Amino acid sequence: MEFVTVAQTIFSSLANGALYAFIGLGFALVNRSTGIINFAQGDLAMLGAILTGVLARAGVPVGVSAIIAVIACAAIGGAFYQLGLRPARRATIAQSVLITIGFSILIRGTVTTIWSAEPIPVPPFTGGEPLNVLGVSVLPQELWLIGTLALVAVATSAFFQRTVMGLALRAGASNPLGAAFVGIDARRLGLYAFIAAGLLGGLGGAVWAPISLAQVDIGLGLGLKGFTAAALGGFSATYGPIVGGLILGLAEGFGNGFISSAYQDAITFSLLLLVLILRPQGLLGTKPQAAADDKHEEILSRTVSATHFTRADLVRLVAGAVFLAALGQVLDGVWLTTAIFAEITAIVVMGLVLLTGYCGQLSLGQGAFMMIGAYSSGYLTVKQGWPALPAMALGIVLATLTALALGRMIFRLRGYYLSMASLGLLMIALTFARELSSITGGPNGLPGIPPLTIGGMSFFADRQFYYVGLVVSLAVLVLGLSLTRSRFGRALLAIRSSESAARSCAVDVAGLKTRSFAFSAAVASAAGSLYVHYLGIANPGPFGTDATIAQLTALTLGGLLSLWGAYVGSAIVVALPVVIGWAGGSSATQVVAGLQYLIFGLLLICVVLVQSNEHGGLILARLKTLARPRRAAAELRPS
Amino acid sequence: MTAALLEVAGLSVRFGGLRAVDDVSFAIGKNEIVGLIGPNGAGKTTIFNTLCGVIRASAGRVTFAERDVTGLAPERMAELGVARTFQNVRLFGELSLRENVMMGAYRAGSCGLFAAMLRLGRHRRLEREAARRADAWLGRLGLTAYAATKATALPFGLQRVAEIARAMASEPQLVLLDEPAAGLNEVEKHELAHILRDIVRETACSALLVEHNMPLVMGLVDRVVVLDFGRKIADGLPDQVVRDPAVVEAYLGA
Repeated sequence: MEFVTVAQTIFSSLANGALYAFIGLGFALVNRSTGIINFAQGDLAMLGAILTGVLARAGVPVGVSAIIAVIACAAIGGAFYQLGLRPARRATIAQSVLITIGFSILIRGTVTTIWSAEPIPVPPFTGGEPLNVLGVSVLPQELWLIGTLALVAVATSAFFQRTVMGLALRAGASNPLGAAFVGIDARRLGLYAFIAAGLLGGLGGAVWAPISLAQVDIGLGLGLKGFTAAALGGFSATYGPIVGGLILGLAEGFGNGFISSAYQDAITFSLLLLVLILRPQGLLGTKPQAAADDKHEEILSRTVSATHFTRADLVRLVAGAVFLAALGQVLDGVWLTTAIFAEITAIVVMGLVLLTGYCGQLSLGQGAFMMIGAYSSGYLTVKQGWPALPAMALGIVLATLTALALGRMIFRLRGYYLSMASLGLLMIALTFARELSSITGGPNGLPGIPPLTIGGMSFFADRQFYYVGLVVSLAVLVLGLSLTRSRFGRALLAIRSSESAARSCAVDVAGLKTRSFAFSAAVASAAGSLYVHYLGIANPGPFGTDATIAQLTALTLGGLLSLWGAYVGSAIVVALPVVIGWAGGSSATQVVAGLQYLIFGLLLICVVLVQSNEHGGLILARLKTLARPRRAAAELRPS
Repeated sequence: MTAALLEVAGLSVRFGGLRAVDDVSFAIGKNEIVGLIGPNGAGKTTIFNTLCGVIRASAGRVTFAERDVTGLAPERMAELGVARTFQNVRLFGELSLRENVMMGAYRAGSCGLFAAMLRLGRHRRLEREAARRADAWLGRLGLTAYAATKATALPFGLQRVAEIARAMASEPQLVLLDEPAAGLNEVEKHELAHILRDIVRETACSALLVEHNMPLVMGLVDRVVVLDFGRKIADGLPDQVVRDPAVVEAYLGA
């Protein structure tokens, strides 16, 4: 490589890196002052870009457009905190993170519905002609971006080091109760942090947009890269996200130059996984002090019987199985197909009930394990001529081993590393599914997967497959119930109440989390296998981040601790797009997709809000509440 | 003296420049109740936490049942037979009282996730054993009536006893009690002392008691270790120690 090429790569990479740095700064700011990871950070940048583009298209001068967009993003960030997070007073961190995921989906849905998903070109702030500096071609807009970042960096550092409010933000983050005692209102700090996060995201997006295009689809990817930037440099260090962003930009630029741009995501997220595993505090960050006291994440007056199966369990199991079996006779056509997809989703969600509900670990990458199952089944049956069952079994084993290996490294650390690590894993898996076409068939997929055949019986018709899905999902449900009503179920609930007391009872916390992760991976893999046997084709489409969103919404709707709720939540989530499409008739699919995100986002936020005040799934728990007061009184009376 | 159950040798814990514990050595014999006392800031809680595995020692060695256990994690200490209670009572709020005590028996053995999911014999045996121990300890401590109650709904005094039941259900060789009388009234303190003395005698385990309440300590323990400013200033029988001039000075600040 010549000097000019190298210099050109460096400069172009730095411009991208600067955008990641903006988003990373937003992540770090919110995390430092509220402890939350704001998943909507990338969507705020996307919103900044879109608004600038839309206003400029309407004839507003581009500079003015950018300023209006940034102010709007800041206002939206603040409004989100006031309406979404502030009312969720009793929310655990995991629930708060779910609310921000809802916010992310909401922004995406709103933008898609109003402006469609078409890319919008944005004119540069000043002069579109590239300058030539020592043979390196430099866009003026790139200089704008890097200059703005430098300005923001100086301002942020001065804010945190030299102003009372910066000091208050840091104090509030390190000890909210202590800060409250000296008159710092943590809620107000949260509001400021989210306004600033909106400002940073919007600013990055608005200044970057002219270099690229403003498009709704970039939000999630930008969010992930911004998070990687913050994780790479360190959340706790003032310049951490900036250094991380620039390194990430360079790694991508040179990766594209030397390897292939097709593997860009794989490179980025391998870097993320490496940092999370080897140096979770980031390159510049300082090691977090071990928490002396664990939070009592206690759930409102509800005793979960974790000791043994009760008669109620058995009655519910029989009644549920009979109801679902009868449903298979009633449903037809598109509704039968919908029910099958709901069953498959429910299997994945049941794994999440254990992992997220019982262990408090949020996985955003179950799609990766579904893909392991899907492609094991697809590849081995189509290309190697294996029968379906052994192929499916191998997929389950592979998924379990992957989860065990990753879990072992991630769960040594407390906190929310799994969310990001699993999302990174999903991105890597998606890249390989697209690029390793000799095995996976690439984006077109692997067609010709035979229907599921067990012992000479082939399940080809929809109605037959419905019962296959029912049997597998009920089996997973029974295994899950059995697990939650075992010594492990007790131990998991014990960890939720007090990790230190659980450890004093010889509970290996990291080991238990790892094993629950492995369970969730195994069932997700089984679900992935079922999916491709049903459709007859394996492609990356159904396992991406849209699937993650659907799973989390289903989990939340059904109730984090309810295995039966997985059916209810999955049915709603899978049926909703069908209903919208049916009601919308021939209207554009764009609008349908947008509305779907919008509704998912609103549902997610509202349900978590309700739950964080009254725990349990919205639908199931509401019914139970009716019977609760008398029972609770009876429990307290000694017999 | 025969080999002690727990031996602390030259233990030091530093937090930055502060020496919270400075070269402290003491031992706990089999079936012995030892009190660890001292004024505020003497380093009692730090030693307690080091023995539980919550804090890492800067120097020194801890030997338990003739085995070097320095720096082991809390769950490993529990596995080896060191149970503990918490000063501010930490029962599991999402479990019933009986299930809380069953958690104490978690270390009775291990089984895989599969054994639990498929209800294999190994898991069933462990569950039976845990239930047996829980019922026995609830009965022994008079808590049977509250077995199905949400543990954190109990009155505070009973929660303390429940925590002792949970610790004892692990059938420990050594139980570490962190200010068990804190927050109790005089009657409850008196009852607690009786319970502690009786169960330690019955089960032949040893106990280390970190406590502020002098009458409780003096009436209960076989031996007292006194700390002041992170150093050991006395170690002996309760009535000898109270007459020790160094102890008197430390407490009265004369």
